[in-house]
Parts: sequence; structure tokens; C-alpha cells
Amino acid sequence: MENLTRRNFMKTSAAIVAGAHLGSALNAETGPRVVLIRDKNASVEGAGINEKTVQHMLDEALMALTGESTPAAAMKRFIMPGETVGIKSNAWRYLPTPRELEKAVEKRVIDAGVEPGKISIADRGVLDNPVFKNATSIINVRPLRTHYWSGIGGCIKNLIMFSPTPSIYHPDSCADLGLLLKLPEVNGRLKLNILCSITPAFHGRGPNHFDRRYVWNYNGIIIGTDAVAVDAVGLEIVKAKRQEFFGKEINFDTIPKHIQLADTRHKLGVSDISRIQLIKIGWMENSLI
Amino acid sequence: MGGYKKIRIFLLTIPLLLISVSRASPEKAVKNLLIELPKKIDSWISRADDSIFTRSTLFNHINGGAEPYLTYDFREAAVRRYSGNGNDEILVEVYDMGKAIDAYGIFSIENADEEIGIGQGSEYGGGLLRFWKNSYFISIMTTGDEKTAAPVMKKIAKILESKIDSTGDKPDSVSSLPQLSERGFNLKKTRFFHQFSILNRLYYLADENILKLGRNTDCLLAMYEHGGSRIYLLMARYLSIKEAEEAYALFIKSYMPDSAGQGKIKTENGKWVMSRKEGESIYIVFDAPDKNRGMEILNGIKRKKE
Repeated sequence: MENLTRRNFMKTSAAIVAGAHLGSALNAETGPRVVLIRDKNASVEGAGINEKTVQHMLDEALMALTGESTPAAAMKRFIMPGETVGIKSNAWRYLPTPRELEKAVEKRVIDAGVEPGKISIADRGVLDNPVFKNATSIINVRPLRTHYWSGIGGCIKNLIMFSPTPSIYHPDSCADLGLLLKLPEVNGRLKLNILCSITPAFHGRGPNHFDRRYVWNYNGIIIGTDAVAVDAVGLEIVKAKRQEFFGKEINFDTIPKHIQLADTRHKLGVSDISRIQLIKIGWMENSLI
Repeated sequence: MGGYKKIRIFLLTIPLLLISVSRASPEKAVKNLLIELPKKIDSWISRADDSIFTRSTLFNHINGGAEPYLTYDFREAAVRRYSGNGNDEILVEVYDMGKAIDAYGIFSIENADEEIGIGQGSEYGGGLLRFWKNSYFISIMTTGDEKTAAPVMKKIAKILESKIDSTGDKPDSVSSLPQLSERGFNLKKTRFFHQFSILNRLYYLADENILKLGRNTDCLLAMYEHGGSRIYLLMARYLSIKEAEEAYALFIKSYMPDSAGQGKIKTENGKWVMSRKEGESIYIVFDAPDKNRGMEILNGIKRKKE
């Protein structure tokens, strides 16, 4: 494989810009479908997250993604009655997957015909979790944020707990993180990716740091079956927010290249935004994409 | 061997041992530095034991965030948590970076906020206070109300600073940086590191390590602003002239094969890259808006006094 240098990117970027419009016209129709739904009432600064609104957003997004007319029917496109389902959440103390969203997903999984005892919502310890060990389907749900060592913490990154040796994915700024999608615990079982963008973090400094200055009430949820495409949409929003907030393009702590490489190097999804069929629903003021 | 000769060799060895000990480890182990910090500071109390992390266990504390630390001579970290009101917490992390240049290094690649005058370099912003002194890098972070925690965090920082008796030197290359402010070049950032993965974080250059950087290379990336342009200077020092020659040849072959051996080229973004090798060092200017400004920086590098 040719060594990719900064100059290679310079050479190709002009071609990409020139071809972006054409690419969009030719490929967006056939590319993976990703739904972005926003509702300005999903969260209000200081008042927390509105459970009913979040349920409604999830339902609308599921129906838009599948074309079904009810949320239960939409969920049944991914989860069959009688299945065992692991809902892979994220428990990072500063910005966990909101409980309201976990509950909304769980409710629709039950509506799809899954017994409550065959559902588990967990983050750490999924490899030892009996439900996850027997899971026939996984739903991946986590918040959107920048990440110290992978650039972006999205749906791909959220699968790291399925690896018994997470550190093997760390080299070269987590370049090959996309390979998590090939793990036997994930491959064929991951049915849906939900990137919670209700209060995303668009900037941070250092490991484990959470800086409230860099969180905003975007009030969105991004959902799709292609984890790479879902993360690519999330990345575009974070990049746009950084540009808006700082008034200029600033470097990520780490270039979030694992999303693009999951596509170009490992062929595990679509990262090119012009090839993603993005469906936008609801409140779109300052949607940044 | 006579008794007198043995004693003489022993006495001669003592200073050498002392020198090697002082270079190899900091003045205090990180856990001892934390022990000197009171367990109760104002209304904040630490009840649990301190945690210690080594090179092989740092992942348990900061996951993938450990990678940058491991590219330096990181030895050990000690961590203490203070509880305040409700779930508010202050997390104190003391990192032994092995040597002062590496404590400076990890601080330099991270630092983003205002200097607050603690240690040999510090910053505070958004509930995160960080500073370095000698071979220690210290991070103090709150998870709670920043306004309540900030005075205590600063108090903790000052106590820790006072327990580190001596200071350490910055990398030699810092003093070699071109000082061209009178020519309109404002030096905005300096970052010190060893490995290619860190260079790519700061300034993406290539997928592969086309500069042959490794644990033993000392690199300084400086960012200058001039008339709205950002210009980068990379200074990389290798262990030997031979290593530098090999790395330079690979860089030219991989990055600017079209420079016809001149080490200067206008790249596809309309900006200039120029480079030269000198002894054990390689110097490269990136993103110069024109040839003259790039050469001013390249020629402004101060030669080390022998």
C-alpha cells in the first residue's frame, strides 16, 4: 500500500472538492442510510434530559430508517421476537449514555418481542455478562464526544469492550479501531448504532478530562446500521462545531482517522459523507450538517 | 589488589553512582510526593488509599490515553481522589516522567490554557490544572463545580510544587529556536516529543514513519505566526550522524522526491517545505507562505556552542 503523506492528501483534496457534488448525486441514493433527528426540547441546560421527547425521537428515527409506520415494526426489522439482546451502552462518568435513551431503546426491544430477562444494558464487563455472551443481537448506543487517543469517541470506539485486549487497538492513534467490527462477538450480531448527540463534547484536553465549556445542547440522535457512516456524520457535526466555536479549524488531540480507515483500509462501512444517505428530521436550526 | 587501591576505587565510584542515580530517577517517588499532601484540604477529604500505576498498568487508569505517556520515559504515576460536596471530586495525578525534558514534553504537547505561574510551566482552564517541575508532570482535575474547586486545586498544586525541591532543564533544542520576533515571526507554541505518533498528532505528516523517529530521537516542533500564516519548524536530533543521514534520505525520498535534491519545494497547497541536515540533526520548515520566510526560519536556528 502506498504511504499516505500530507502531500498526498493535498493532491487528492482538490479532486475530492471538485467531485463532491457529482459524488453526492451518484452515490447518496445507494449509500448507507443514516438518520439525524433533533428536537430542541430533548434537553435544556440545567434541567436535564426529557424522557418523553427522547422516546419520541428514537421512535421517529427508527421509522425513518426503516420506512415502517410504527416503532415496534421498525425495531422488528433488526430484532426478532425471542432473541437475546445486549444493549452496549457507555458508562464514562462525565458523559454516559443517558438513562432516558437506554430506557427508550429497551422499551422498543421489548415491544419487538424480547423478554425483559433476555436484555442487558452494560458497558464494562460485556465479555463476562451472561446475556451478552448469549446475545443474538447487539444494539450499540453511546454519546458523541472527542476522545484523547482516537480523536472521536463514537459507535466504533464503543465496541472496544468486546476485545479482551483493548490495548492492541491503541497504536497509531487507534488507526485500526474499525477492526472491532470484525470481532466474533460483534460481527453479524451488531444490528443498530445509535450515536447520542443530545449534549456532545466537541473538545477536550488530556485523558479523562471533561470540560463543560466544550459541551453544547445539540439535541440530536444519529442512528443507522453502518457504524462507520454513523460516526462519519457525528464527526462532521463535531468538526463544524469546533469551527464555529473557535472561529478557525483547530487540530483534534488526535486525528480521528480510524473512521476513514475503517472504510478505506478495512472496507467495513462508508465514511465519505457524500456517499451517505443522510435523512434529517425535526428541528434543524444550526444543525451544522 | 591492595586495600588502599580498593578504597580509592570505591571513593572514586561514589560520585559516579550519585550522578547516575540522580539522572535515572526523580528526587522523590511519586507516592512519597503524594504522602506529603494532606488528606484533608479545606472541606475536601481523601479517604481511599492512593493508587499507583506503572508503565504496564497505566492503561488501567487512562485507557488509550496512556499511549502518549509511554512514548516518553514515564516511570510511575500516583493518583489520589478528594471528595467534596455531593459527588464533586478532585483528582490529583502525579506522573514521574523519568527526566525533566520528558515532563516538559508531555506538558508541552498538551498545554492549551493560560499560564498560572506554578512550577516551570502551568495552565488552568475548564476545571483542569496542569504543571511540570523537574521530572514531574502533575494534573489536577475536578469533576464538580469548577468555581468551588478551583481555589483548592491551586492550593494542592502549590503544596506539591513546594515539595519538589529542584528544577530541571528544558531540552537543549529550545534554546536553539530562531528568535525572530523583530522580523514579525511570533513563536506561539513549542512541543517536545520523541516518536512519530506524537508528531502526527501535532502535525500530520505521513502514515508511515518517514523520519525514522523513535524513543531516542529528541524532537521539537515550533509553531510561528507571521502575517496571518502559521509556519512550523521541526528540529529532530538523532543518536548519531549516520542515523540522521538515513532518516533524512528517507524523508526526502518519501516526502519531496521532486525537490531534485535541493531540500526545498513548493507543495500542492501553495506553501513551501524546506529542509536541511546538520550533524546529528534534521531541520524542516513546513507551510512557509513563501521561500524567503521559510529560509529566514531555517537560517535562524542557533548553532549549539561547543
